[in-house]
Amino acid sequence: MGVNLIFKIAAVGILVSVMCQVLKHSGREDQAFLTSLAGLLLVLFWIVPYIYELFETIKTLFAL
Amino acid sequence: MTTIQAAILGMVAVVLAVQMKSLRPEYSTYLILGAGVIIAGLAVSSLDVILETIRIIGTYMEIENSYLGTLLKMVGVAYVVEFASGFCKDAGFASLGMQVEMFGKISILVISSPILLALLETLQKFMK
Repeated sequence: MGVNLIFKIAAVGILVSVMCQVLKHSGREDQAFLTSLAGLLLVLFWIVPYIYELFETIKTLFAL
Repeated sequence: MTTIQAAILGMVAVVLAVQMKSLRPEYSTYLILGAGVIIAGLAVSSLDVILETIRIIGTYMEIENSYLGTLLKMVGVAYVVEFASGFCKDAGFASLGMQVEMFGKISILVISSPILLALLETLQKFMK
């Protein structure tokens, strides 16, 4: 929780951009797109529980 | 988690997001979303103390509980809507942010309409 989530997202971002560059230069455009999609899904997989938890706390706190 | 840590967390996220903007623009949006969720989570978790004091103040002044509940509801709706529309605007989609804000305003109006009616009824009683 906290800072390491941010560093994880940044790490995935850098990794995906490097892989996409390599795949693009070796002529595999579609795999580059798939890699970035996989990176997106991974990051979303991390962030969605936190968003859900935040909105749950707000709902219970403010009796929405 | 003091305010200093939250401030540092925000600045680290912004610095990383700026770095990511040149590499992969969409990842800077995810970074900002992640940092926003974390800092909002810290703010909300330290908010229940304030809500408790508001409730205690409410009992002192015999304010009807429904008014206090509606007030808190409005603050909650405003907070969530502000968070979502700010994120949409950061990502560059101001129109979507405006939609979320408009929906938030309408839902606040809906929440506050019973209180408005109660006020007008009491006024009418005085007029008679």
